[in-house]
Amino acid sequence: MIAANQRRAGLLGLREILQYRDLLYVLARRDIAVRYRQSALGALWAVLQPLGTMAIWSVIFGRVIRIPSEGLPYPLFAFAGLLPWLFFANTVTTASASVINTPSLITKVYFPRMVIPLAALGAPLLDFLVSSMLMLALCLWYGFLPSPALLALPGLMAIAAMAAIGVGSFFAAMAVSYRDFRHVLPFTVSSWLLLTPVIYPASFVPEAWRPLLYLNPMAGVVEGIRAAWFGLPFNATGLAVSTSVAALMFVIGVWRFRSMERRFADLV
Amino acid sequence: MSIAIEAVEVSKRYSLQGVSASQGTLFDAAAHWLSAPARLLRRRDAAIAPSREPEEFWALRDVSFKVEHGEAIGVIGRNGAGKSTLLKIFSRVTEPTSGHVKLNGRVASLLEVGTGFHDELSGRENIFLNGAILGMRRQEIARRLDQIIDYAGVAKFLELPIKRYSSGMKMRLAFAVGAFLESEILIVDEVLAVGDAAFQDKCLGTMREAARGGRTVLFVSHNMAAIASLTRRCVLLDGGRVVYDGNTADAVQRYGGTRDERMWRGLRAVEDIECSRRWRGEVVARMLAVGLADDQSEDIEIGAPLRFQIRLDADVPVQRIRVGYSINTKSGTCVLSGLSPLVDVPKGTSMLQLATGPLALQPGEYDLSLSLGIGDWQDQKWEMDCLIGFGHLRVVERFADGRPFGSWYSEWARGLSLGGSLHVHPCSDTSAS
Repeated sequence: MIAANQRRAGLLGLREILQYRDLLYVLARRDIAVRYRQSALGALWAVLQPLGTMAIWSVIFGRVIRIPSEGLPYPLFAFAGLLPWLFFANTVTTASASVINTPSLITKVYFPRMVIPLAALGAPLLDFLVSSMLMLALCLWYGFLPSPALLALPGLMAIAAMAAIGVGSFFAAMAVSYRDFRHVLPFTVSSWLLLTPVIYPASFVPEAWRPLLYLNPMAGVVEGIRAAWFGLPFNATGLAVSTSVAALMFVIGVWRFRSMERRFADLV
Repeated sequence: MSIAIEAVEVSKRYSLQGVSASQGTLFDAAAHWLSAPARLLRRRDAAIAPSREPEEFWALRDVSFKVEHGEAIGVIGRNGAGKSTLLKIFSRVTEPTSGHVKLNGRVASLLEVGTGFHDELSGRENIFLNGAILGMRRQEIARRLDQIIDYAGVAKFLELPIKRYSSGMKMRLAFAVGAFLESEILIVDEVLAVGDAAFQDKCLGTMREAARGGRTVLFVSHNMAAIASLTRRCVLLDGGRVVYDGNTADAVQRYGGTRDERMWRGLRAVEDIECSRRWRGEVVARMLAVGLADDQSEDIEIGAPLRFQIRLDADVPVQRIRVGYSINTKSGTCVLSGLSPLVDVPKGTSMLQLATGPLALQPGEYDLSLSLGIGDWQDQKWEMDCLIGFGHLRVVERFADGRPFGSWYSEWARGLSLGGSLHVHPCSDTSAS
């Protein structure tokens, strides 16, 4: 028996999402399939974009401005940080617009609404996996053997995913009522990049400010992923702080989304 | 038998402001919060001032009914009676303001055919996408794939992106996915409003089979013929309330009697009229306001003419312009259309007074459409402004000369010869009598 207006239990409504896991899969697949249709280079774009960014950064930040890079070749240093950052930024961007971009679904059929922002993880995750292969090739080319610490990569990505879904679903829900969030978003993402040690290492930040840096969950993730690739020491405290903040963002974002989702169909 | 669908005192309120002050832009919200103290003070001062009209609208009011398993039920009502809102609540897209609904079994709702179709994806990919959106598992879709493709008749185009499909093909594909979803309850809204007649019949047949196969079907339509052929029981909604719940024939008859206030004497601005508006080709003149002539009654008698007035605006002087009108039954069949004589209109606004010929129509309810255009059947003709279904016409059971309806009306036969022949043969088989 289904009472149509019963409250769905649990923060995420995980049981129902599992029932609709095929929809999650199909929506994510759709995003991936649609992206490079009718483009000549196709899926190559997934690699060309970060590669291009890395090349430009290497010239400007590596050669011209000479930002230190923990003794690593700057392209390698930048690329290791860029990949998780792109995963985070693309997920947040897609998830934030996901609800207002699918009014036809929201107003016409029932399914657990969390599926929509969650599906935004798919394409960026695939991009990350593909460009990680490139990262591996790049490492070997520069003569680095990835350290066994690389096994921590999935865990670190999970933290990034948590933060991204938290921020993304918060924005997605707010954008339904306040279209202003569409304009807030690009600004937020580009500022966030500057607050994350992607272009520069965490050690570049003055000692006194460093604890604050890790309040940004992506700081812990990016530094952690670099440590994993190159076998550098992990900043355990920093990572713990980042993880906690990511979890908090996840809870707040998802809670906000879930408490507003019942009104989406009337507002979107 | 057990209950499949139950609505218990379901009400749904919408805010008429659309997006109220606390839901607009952030700036509005901030302004609203900031001005709260001021409003509080003002309220204290103006405690005796008349309170503002509540700007809200009840789409549904205390709607209750039960549907048993395996029953096919129709929901009918005028535009705005609350049908769509009710279906949205049943399919869990939106929630009632008060009351609740119980659905016993898996629900497949076809509120709009092709929900979630993506133009860039192929037909096959869209079947899986659409199926997943409707809650089907992958294996289930895979198992039904051949059946769906076969039903929709798109086998040859399966790998083509559906942006290359015709709208009819898209429709067929979408209906097929919905129809083959293994659900206990099938909710269908007006999907038959488009598509060709053969396919509409096929859809109806599929729904009938679904009902016969033990599925519960809830069907909403304006097409009374379809309702009557599919259901035995109907819920009639009017103004958000259930005004009748019972056998379909009675419900359809009462539906004809519910108020439709879409006709008026005098002029009403076209922007304020709920209808669909179309045009084609070069538009040099348009209708500003339309309505019945001031002395024209809203109910017309059989064989009486109908008189309209139209205010129009022309960008240039237009020669040989004319008005077209057509009259459709409530189920959408056009029963009569005509063109006025040609007139010349000057640049700017002018008024047209139109009188039709005697309308020899059967008593009942009709929809009216008007158009403004140039040319007729012989010429090339084009319409620069069409108002489709802008008004409502009721033909009452009385002849224009005052006689009551009940005897044959000679106008119907005038100029009509069926041809053919009619013979009488003596009957030799006496056992029949």
